[in-house]
Amino acid sequence: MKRFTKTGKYTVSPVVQIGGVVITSFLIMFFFYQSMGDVPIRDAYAPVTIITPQKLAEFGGSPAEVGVGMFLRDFPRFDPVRADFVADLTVWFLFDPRLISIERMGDFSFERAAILNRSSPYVRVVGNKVLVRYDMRVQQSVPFDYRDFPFDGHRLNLTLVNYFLSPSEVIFTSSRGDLVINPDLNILGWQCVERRVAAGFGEEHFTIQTGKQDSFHPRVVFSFDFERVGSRHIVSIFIPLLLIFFIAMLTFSFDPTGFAASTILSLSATAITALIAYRFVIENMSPQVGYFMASDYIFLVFLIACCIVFFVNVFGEFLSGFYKTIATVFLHMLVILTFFFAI
Amino acid sequence: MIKKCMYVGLLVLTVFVLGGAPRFETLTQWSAHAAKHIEAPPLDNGDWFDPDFSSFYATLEPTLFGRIFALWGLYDPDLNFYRIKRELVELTKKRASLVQKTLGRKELLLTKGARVFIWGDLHGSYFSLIRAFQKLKNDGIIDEFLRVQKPCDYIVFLGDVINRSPYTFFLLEFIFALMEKNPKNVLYLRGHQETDRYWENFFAMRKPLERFERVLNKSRGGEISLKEEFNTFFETLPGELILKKDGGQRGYVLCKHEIPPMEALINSQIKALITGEQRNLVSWQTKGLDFLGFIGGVPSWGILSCPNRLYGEFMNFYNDSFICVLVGETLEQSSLSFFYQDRRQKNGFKKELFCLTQGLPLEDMHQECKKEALSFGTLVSFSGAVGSVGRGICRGITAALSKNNQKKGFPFIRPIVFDDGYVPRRAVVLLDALLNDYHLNVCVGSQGTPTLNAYLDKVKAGKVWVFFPATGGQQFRLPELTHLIHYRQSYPQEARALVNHIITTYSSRLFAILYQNDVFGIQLANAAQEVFRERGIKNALVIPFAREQTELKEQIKKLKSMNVEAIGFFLTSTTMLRNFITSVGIPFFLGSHLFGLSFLDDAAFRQFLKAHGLRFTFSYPVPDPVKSNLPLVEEFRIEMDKHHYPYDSNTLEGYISGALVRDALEVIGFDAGPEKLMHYFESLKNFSYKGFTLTFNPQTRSFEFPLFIRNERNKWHSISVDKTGTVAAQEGEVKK
Repeated sequence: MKRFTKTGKYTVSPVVQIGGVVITSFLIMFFFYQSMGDVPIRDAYAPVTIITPQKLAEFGGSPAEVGVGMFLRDFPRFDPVRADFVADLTVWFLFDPRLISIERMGDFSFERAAILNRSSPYVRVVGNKVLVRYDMRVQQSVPFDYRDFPFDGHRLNLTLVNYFLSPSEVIFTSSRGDLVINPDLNILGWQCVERRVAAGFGEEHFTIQTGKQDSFHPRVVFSFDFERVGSRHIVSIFIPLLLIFFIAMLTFSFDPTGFAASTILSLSATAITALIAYRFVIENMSPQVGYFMASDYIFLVFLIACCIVFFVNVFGEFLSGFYKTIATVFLHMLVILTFFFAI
Repeated sequence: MIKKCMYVGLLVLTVFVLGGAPRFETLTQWSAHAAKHIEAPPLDNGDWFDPDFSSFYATLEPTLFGRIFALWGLYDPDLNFYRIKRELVELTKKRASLVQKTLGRKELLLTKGARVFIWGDLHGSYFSLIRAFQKLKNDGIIDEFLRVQKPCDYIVFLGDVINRSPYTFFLLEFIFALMEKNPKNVLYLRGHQETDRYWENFFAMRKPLERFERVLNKSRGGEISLKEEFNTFFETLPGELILKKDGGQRGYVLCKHEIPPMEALINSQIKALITGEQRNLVSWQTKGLDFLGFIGGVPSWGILSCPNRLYGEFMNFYNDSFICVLVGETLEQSSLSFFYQDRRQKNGFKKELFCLTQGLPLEDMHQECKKEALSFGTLVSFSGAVGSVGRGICRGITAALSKNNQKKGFPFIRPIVFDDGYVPRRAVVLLDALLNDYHLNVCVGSQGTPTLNAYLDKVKAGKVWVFFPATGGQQFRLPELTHLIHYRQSYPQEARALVNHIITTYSSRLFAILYQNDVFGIQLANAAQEVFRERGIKNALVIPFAREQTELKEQIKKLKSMNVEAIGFFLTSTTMLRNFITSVGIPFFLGSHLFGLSFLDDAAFRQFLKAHGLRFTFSYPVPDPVKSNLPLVEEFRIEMDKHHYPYDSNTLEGYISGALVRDALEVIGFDAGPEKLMHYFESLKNFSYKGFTLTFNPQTRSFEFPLFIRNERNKWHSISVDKTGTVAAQEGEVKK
């Protein structure tokens, strides 16, 4: 194999360079593929205490059972980056009106969400019970956990709660089958991959002058798990970074003592500048959070790698090809390991 | 060429042998397999209703190559969905022809000595079932190869075998093997989980299946998914099992996962009901088998057989448990053996013996069930707004009779309790069923003024005898109603006592009365107004509402139109009252004295009052069920404890009704008819009865029981009522 320099004393073999690019690219592609098969979701389920038989006995009596369900019609606004969601949905309750009035059932709300619009109850008699249905628009602004961005999946919890009832009067019952998602639901860039329903009650403890007070309210948590559709985010963030990194690495194959000496330095400095400039593009795509995300860690590693390349090139005349080869392997390893742990 | 052919032949043979073989042949192999795993793996979430075991499943998942080899049958991983699918398809094919014949119901004709081993909800309790089968093997019921030894022995799973455990798939494979080897003697009934794809709502089974299908990319159409295979299989399972005795004997034992609707149980042919877990009815710590009482007159049993991690952690249930029905000469003479052992100690199965159709314990196999002396009917409401009252009365009557039934040498008395839903027309239909189908003309402790009013003509005509109904209706207290007798005071007396108490104690002058506009509420409201007139109280606000009314806007508006010092609630539904109070607004009631009848005093209403800091005065026909030391109340508490029932006034009211009848029959003889029983009660004068003095008043058809009032400070007072039914002005604290 012919080298870029006559002697090859200060350069890295193109075979090593090409091998590094191929192996790194292959492994990173493999990690991407794996991550798409099993998307991590760090967002927790909203808290709900499940009603066990013992709990029921503690509350005393036989509370009225109210079946609760939801039909999710659409998300007119679904912006995980700004944590802004607006959902059009139908909530229904199935209960015995002799045990609880429609008015009291209608006092429900959604935790950490605002009801923008609510229809008057649509009532239908079903045997001895009534089915009361409300069409509504709900806005929720709860930020997600973005630590895995852009390899992240998210969980949206809609918690229906009635603060005017207690589990000694009413318990909500609901199961996954009672949460129906419109099959035509189309959220740009996202798909709902899982849903879950948990019914139970919430607890609040507070102390007043007369002593400790406990407050219990029935609640149902409707949870939706979302994944990104396609790999546009991943590709558009990391491919330019990888290309800049590979270009910077190529400078190790130029002879620092020959005609390309100035090119080496300017190319490696340009790589750093290009990375910093591209940071603004990434910033635009990323959620505005105070903690580090996977994309931040990866970007920093690329930046550090390019800086190392630059410093190695500054002293390129004093470092032999052997040391540069070690640096090349080390930097490729650094990138691979970063992706391995970040994804 | 020959060599190549040999290699191919060997490969095909390997695939055939490994791919087609059932998982394990012997019980020892199954036990060894179970021993490799931990019995209670941790949950990924803390949800007892829908546990997630994804981490545990990940440990069982084969590698990529393992999956490929498993597909070709060259490798058999522990959790092998290809194998499960194969077993499932074969079993479903075999069962398909059976299903068309049985239409969801399976009948077994049993000879004397036949044994039916039954498991309740298993919920993936693989280890527990293996231990139970070790016992069956040791007892010679099955052999090492899981074959049932006698053709008259049967194994029945009552449904809800699946979910809530990560071992569901292993358990299903074990049951598949049992069904394969004993197609006639092993029956798997459909439970709640196995019906209408309900199991798909839960992580425990759905998640690993979906992952499996995702790996194979089958969920996107094309080949039928394993989920569908499971659903097809579950559809072939019968929904209920009928155990009949041969020899033309009428009647049967019904085995079903859930309690059928009351309409289906109003059938004198059903001798007993065996069901799975009944969490709503069993509020106490279960050992695995519970006698649920006589639901619609049918002695009912509930079995729980799932000592898995969830039930241990959240319900403190750790027993391996199953039952055996041993068929006797008749179904009435059949016994039920309950086997259980604590899975943490594993110190051998204990056995308890019961009479199948009476719910009574038997000392040994030679002891026969009691002879049935008589039955009587009770019409109460388990459902709707007054459900808690009906359930209380029913529990009280059951406990009172149970005391008699457990005594040696005493015949068996069966209560046949029907749920009339507090609907008069339904009460009439049910009474007709009692008269015509069960040939019973005695009702004890029936609940409800409008319901009793609906069949009062039958009482007047002498077709039915009613003893101690849970009603204070004045219209039932006429001298000519010779087939009726009461021990509680009338509603007008209760209303008068309450209003007088409020006026005397709190000097209230501004009253409002909210009453149910029916035969129950009108007489209470009228009695209260009489007192207002007598005490010179004017402008009392009287607000009626319809019993089935759900919106109370007009009533609220009327109440808020004036300031009141005391508000009387003459209604039966606490839920209605809670709604009303909440809708009016709690601040409105600050400083007001609220009062009503004992029917309102249930646990939910007590919680409601406590939560809102409200105080209430109640009147009761019975003394304090928790603290009174009258001998009858002490006896009540002992019997309640035996049945794990809570103490409350409605339960005590039912208990006193049942105890009066029970003790009277003990005196006059259990073969005495209702007429003789009525004469006995009518003849009582100054009769000392467990702390009470009973004197029959023919004018009111009632004993002169005292009334009791619990004031706002939870102090109980007794109020004596004279012979003319006038409430005495004096009040005294109950003697302890």
